[in-house]
Formats: sequence, C-alpha cells, structure tokens
Amino acid sequence: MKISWAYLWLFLSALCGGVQAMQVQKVESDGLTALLSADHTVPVVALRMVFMGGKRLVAPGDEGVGELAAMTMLEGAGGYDAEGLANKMVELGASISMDNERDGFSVSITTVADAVDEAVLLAVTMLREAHFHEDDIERGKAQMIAGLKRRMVDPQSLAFTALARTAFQGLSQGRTQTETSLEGLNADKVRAFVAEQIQSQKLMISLAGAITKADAERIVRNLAQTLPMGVPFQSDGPHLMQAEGLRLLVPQAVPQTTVVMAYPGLMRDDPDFMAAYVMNHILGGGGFSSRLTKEIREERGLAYSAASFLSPTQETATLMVYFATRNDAVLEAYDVARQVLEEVATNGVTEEELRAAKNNIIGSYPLRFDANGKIAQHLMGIQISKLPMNYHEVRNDLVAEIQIDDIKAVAARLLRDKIPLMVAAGNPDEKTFQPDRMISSDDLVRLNP
Amino acid sequence: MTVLGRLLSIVWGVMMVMLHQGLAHADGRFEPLPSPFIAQLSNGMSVIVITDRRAPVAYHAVYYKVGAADEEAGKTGLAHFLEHLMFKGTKTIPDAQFSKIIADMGGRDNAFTTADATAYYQRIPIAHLEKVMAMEADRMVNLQLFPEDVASERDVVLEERSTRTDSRAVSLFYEELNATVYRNHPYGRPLIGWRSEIEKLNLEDAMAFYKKFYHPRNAVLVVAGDISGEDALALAEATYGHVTSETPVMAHQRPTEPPLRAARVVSMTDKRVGNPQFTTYFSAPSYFTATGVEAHALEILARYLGNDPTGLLHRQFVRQRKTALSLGVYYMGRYRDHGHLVVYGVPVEGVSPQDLHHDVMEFLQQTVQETFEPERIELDKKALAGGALLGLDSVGALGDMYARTLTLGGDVDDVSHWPVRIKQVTAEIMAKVAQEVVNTDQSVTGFLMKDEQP
Repeated sequence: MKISWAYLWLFLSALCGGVQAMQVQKVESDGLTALLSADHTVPVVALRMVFMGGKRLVAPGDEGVGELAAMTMLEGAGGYDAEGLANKMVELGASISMDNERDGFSVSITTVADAVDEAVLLAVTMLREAHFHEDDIERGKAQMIAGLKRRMVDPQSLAFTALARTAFQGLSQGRTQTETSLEGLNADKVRAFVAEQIQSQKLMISLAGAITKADAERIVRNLAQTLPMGVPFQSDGPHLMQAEGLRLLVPQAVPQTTVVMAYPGLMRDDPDFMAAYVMNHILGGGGFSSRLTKEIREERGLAYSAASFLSPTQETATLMVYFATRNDAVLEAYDVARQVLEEVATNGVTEEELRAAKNNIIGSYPLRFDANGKIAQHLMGIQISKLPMNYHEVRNDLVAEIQIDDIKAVAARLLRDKIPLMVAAGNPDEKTFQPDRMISSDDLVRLNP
Repeated sequence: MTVLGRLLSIVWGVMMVMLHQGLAHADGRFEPLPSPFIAQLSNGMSVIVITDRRAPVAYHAVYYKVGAADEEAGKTGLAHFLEHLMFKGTKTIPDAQFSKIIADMGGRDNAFTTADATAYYQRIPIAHLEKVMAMEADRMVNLQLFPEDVASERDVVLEERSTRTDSRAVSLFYEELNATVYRNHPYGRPLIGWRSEIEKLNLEDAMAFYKKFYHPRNAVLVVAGDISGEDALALAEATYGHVTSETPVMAHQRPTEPPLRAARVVSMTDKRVGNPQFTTYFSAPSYFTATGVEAHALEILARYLGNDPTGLLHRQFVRQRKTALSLGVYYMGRYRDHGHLVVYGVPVEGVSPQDLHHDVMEFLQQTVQETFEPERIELDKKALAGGALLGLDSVGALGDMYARTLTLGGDVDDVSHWPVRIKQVTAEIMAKVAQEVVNTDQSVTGFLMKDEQP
C-alpha cells in the first residue's frame, strides 16, 4: 500500500499525533495556486474549485442568480446540448457539478484518473461557454421557485431562513432567495454574474487522488490560461450578528416546534477558535455524549435531536443551538438549553469531559480523510480559512493543548450573560411562549425585507 | 467453531487494481466486485470481512435479520423503539455508556431500522475493534431496561415521529400512500409506527421482541478496515463466539400481498404543501424475489425512463411538452418480499397533478410497447456500473453492501456479480419486464394537493 494515514493513536499522556502520512504539496503555475494530495491507491481524482464570492457577489434583488447559473451550466455548453454533456460524462467516467455557496461558487469534479484532463476541459467549457438558452433559464427558475416553496413549508428551513434574515439583515447572508428575486432573473443577469464570478483571480483549487504533481501543474496552467483573469474578490467583513435577545416566531400548524438559538460566535482565525470548538463539542457538538443531548433528550425526552454548532463564514460567525420539541414544551426545553449554556459559561467543563472530548476529536480526525472527495474538500477548507498547508499534521496538537481554563475563558466570552436570538417555527403553546415578533412563511417566500 | 464458507480473502489493493481496470477500460466496469472473507461462528453468527488498509480504522456493524415488517399487528414501531433502547445499557455497561465509550475511543456510532433489518454500527480506530466487538456481543443478549428509561425514550421517539413525519405534509402523504400500496403485507405500516401505537409500547413488548430476534444465528457481523479476515475472525470468536443462545431462528411470518386487481388512488390536500405532485407505484419483483436479471433490468429501466436529462419520460414532459417541473422514476428493489417501480411528477403551474398523471401514464404505456433503444441502454448501464464503482471509495461501503444483502436473504454473488448482471440485461429483457410491470390497472397512485383556502 502506498498510503496509510499513519496517525498515532495516543491518549492524553502523549498527545502528539496528527494525520502524518498525507503529503500536501503546493502546485503553482501562471499565478494560480492549488493544493494537492497525491495518492495512487484508488485510480480516481477528486478536484474542487472555488471562485471566491458566491452569494456575496450577488446584487441585492437578484438572490438565486448564482444557483441558477450553476444549474443551467448543465443544460448545454460549447458543442454539447444537455444530453450531450450527460452522455460525455458517462463515457469519461466523470461527474461534474456546480453550486453557488455562501463564500464562493464551487465546482466539484470526480473522475477516473485517465480522464482528468478531459473532465477539466469539459468543466471549463461549461463555465465559459454555457448556452443559457431562454428556455432552460425559465425552466430553471420555475424549478427553483418550486424548491423554495417546498422548503418554506419545512419547519427547519423556515427557522434557519428567518434566523439568517434577522441576524444578518442588510448583509448577503441575510438575503435569501424569494419568489420575487427568482422571477426577476433572466439570461442577461446570469451571464453578468458568470462574467464577474468565473475569474482566475478569484479561484482556489484542490486536488486529491491518483495524479502526479506534473499533471496537476498542467491542469492548473490550463485553467490559468483559459479562464479570464479578472480581479480578486474583496470581502467587506467581518460583520457582527444582530438582534440578540429577540424572540421570533414563524407560525406553522405543526405538532412540534423547531427552535434555533443564535449567539455571536468566533471567526475561524480567532485565537480562541479551537477552545470554542472543543467547548462546543462538549456542549452539543459531540453527538450522543454532549450536555444538550443528555439534558434535553436523555433525561427529559423533550427532543429527538438537540445539538449546537459553530458556524464561521468569511463574513460572520455564530454559535447556534438547535432542537425540536412538543408545542407545549417549548419554554421548558428552551430553559433547559439556556441553563446548560449558563452552567458552562459560569463554571466551564469538567476535566473528565475535556479528556473525553479531546479523545474523540483527536481520535476521529483520520475518519475525515478516508476518501479522495473528503481530502479535496479538506484542502479547499484550509485555503479558504487561510490555514497552513500542513494543518492536518498540527491540528491534533492544537486540540491537545487546550486546557480547562481555556474552555472556561472562551465559554465566558461567548455565553456569559448573553441572551440569544431565538427563532421558533411551529405552533408553540401561547401560555408558555410569547414572541416579540412574528414573520409568516409567506413573507419568507415573497420578498426580502 | 467451524468455518463453513471461506470463499476468498482479498486486500484492498487487489480490489483497487480491479477498480482501475474497471474504470480505465470502458468494458471493465462490468467486472465482478471483489468478494469478502466470509465465515460462520459455531453459534451460527455470520461474519463478513473486507480488508482495507488505507487507514488504521475499522467499520464494524451487526445486522439483525429483523425489521419493522416482523412486528405483530398493533405494535407498529416496536423494532425501531427497541433500536433506541439498545443504547440504554447492560449490567456491565450501564447508564447509556455505550456511545460515550465509543466517543472516547475517537469513534462514532449509530443504528438504523428498516422494514427488513436492524443494524448497529461504529467507525473506530482499529486498535479498539476487539473492545467494540465485546461491547456489541454483550448487548446482543444482556440488555437491561428500566421503566423510567423506557418512558423517556418513548417520548424521544414520539418527537422523532413529529420531526420526520407529522410536521411534513409530504411525509404524511407517503405514509398514507404506502399504507394503500400494501393491503395485507406489513410493509404497509410506517417504520416508526403509528402515533397511537408508539404511545402504548412498553418495556415488556421491547424485551419480548429482543429475546425473540436478537441472537447470534439471526445476526450478520461485518468488519471493514485495517485487518485481515483471519484476524477479524479470531476476534469475533473471542467475543461474539462466547454468546450462546438456544433461541431458534424465527421464519419471517409475514402475511403475503395478494395481486392487485384494481387501481387505487389516494388524494390528500394540506396547507403545508410546497408543490402538488403525483406518485404512482407499480408492483414489481425485488432483488430477492426476481428471477434472472429482472431486478437489474428494472434498475436500468428506471434510469432509462427518468434520468435528468436523458430519460424518455423526463425529456418528454419536462423538456418537450413542458407540463412537468420535475419527473422521475426509481426502483425500490432492496426489500425481502416485494419491489416497486415508482414514477413521480410535479406539474408546472396551471397543470393539475391528475392531468399530468394521466398524460404520463398514457405515454408510459405506449413507450413500453415500443422498441427499447440499445445505445441508450448501454449508456445507462455504463452510468450505473461506473457510479457503483466510484461509490466504493470509502471504508465500509462494500462491506455494508454485502451485509445488507446477506441479511435480506441474498448471497455473496448477488453483490459481487451485480455489474456482470447489469451487463447481461438486453433490450428484449427490458421490454419484457417493463411490459409486465407497467400496468396502470394494477397501480396505486397518490395525489398531493395544496389547500389554497386561507
């Protein structure tokens, strides 16, 4: 075997292992940089490109234009129609997909190693020479409106959409797709978005799998030479979340209320980020063994899942708590969650919890690298977060260094005396829960504020 | 202990060479997949091992040959409820410590219940494999339940049902439709259970079900990861091998489903509907009831008809007539007793799901009488076989396929020769199967409509 993630499984007494065998190389050509993890065990290459910008690049009122572009690129490009593109991918043994995400416009390619050049060429054709026929644009819009309506009857989607709108009002993250924005899109708007977005100065690339450095360099060079150069993306962040302390309700006739609580979080480059990560694991990020699961699910049977997560983006950062509970138990579950958070904010966590959390976070790290697609995703993540390219070697040391006082300090910083923005979607009992403000699902579908 | 069947032990490298040949040369996509190391412990437990040395990790799972379709009438949700309770503890590992111990190892664990199987699985660093096997062997026979655990977990399951089903009109729609598709066979019951019956599930029900179905002869162990078949078998002997049980294997006593003699229709209207739609079920053989390559032909047929953008139905209604926003076809083939070919469509605004359904059925019945295009079939076969190969790029994926298949009554060849059998399907076989299955007089259709009343 050429490769094994020869990480060391060590307990607290000797925590120094990382994922050691993976060799990350920098590939540079014509001003473009890519990260590569070459490994020839599986004859497959996963390639990921992200053009920075994404939803942040979308003009107010045009929400959805990037997603529509991504969809319609599959409908015909260069000398291919939709079927031609699909059949070509089957013949090559490749799959290519595009998506417009929060931080950037992404392209994912998974291909048989032998076909990597042709697959990248096909992707470039879709990025540069998509037809964007009126027919396909109109069908794409109708499908997106249908998708929006489908999401806006789902309590989870309703809660998270209302949360984004309220916490990030005025920012790109606070602007979501609406019927109005989607209906206003057309081929010209899609072309304008693509022209502004698909530029090599905005591009980050990662490759993993059966490809040599020389072959990767050729691909990077080809990309640099075929894509318009443009200008780098300028972020205007970071921004703080708003509306702390507000209680919002999206009324929905369902037997269960979905609740999301949001606190200001930490940006990925904050020196306390790792301490916050470990704290969150103990709080609600660690699955069955977390405090929120224990108190809300195990002890009281109030919810099927109760979890917390850190959500740092390029512009904003939040710490969120999620659960869904009976309509008559919303306040009880909310109070339990608040108590769990207050307890950690005031007293921190126990040595035993910290030991167990570190064991899990460190020991499970190799599970993130057991497929080429996951490795390419990791290499993209560290570029976007501006982490060192050998991050996988040092990350477990960073976790091991976290001490009980670090957790206590970061918990106090994030949670002490804080009242979260709370969004409930459902039909909570009026006697126990009174919102400050209501927002209807129709409002969420129709128009951004 | 006797090792009954030891077919072949292979390492990941061999498999990857095959994968390489498979994808590098177009025809090679249809080569057999590697077979696992397979054995049986003296207590009757089946063992499947896939050696995969890319990372010092293991995927470990135990599948029980029991699912929601084995519940008694009136006790729907019991198989799934027991799956939840299996995390509560035993005498030696009490207080819901199971998952915490796994987490402490740097592992992750969970479980799932289907109509035919219940599985418990972990991803762990390889060094802990024996400990995990010992823990899983322990809870196979030593589950200890207390009334207060059972009561709070029942509330958890009711909340799970609220999240998954009761809060989503489309989930309720499929629950109703499924209950209409099966009139007699328990596949018609919801996996999670009817709310009124979940509320009544109790400790005695759970323990009785557990004692009846959880024992070595009714279990399939799968290990995939950084270990040889022989070494994994030795660990299995040292752990599961000590579980003795006199419980006989219960035959699956399930009522059979009589042939459908009349088309059935379910209509549901709800305010919480995003998109109106129709869904039509055609009764079909499953992979486990089919003869020859019928099931494989149905798998290809679904893609041939429904794939975006190449499928015949998809092209006709989404792209040419423009009466559907989306339209798809899928084959539900991985059930022990029955299969279905399912067609669904979401109409564009101004077209009713009933009208779209009518036109799609008319076109479909005509299509299955016409010649199947061999070039399209070849592309669909390549796409399916190639996609399956790319899907194997994760530790445990292949082992899981073998375990699922054996649990449902299939054999090793059913998995390893799946690509070979896909290749064997011809236009004639497709036409024959399509004509047998696509019979609108014997179909069940659901219409989901939006309640526009304020």
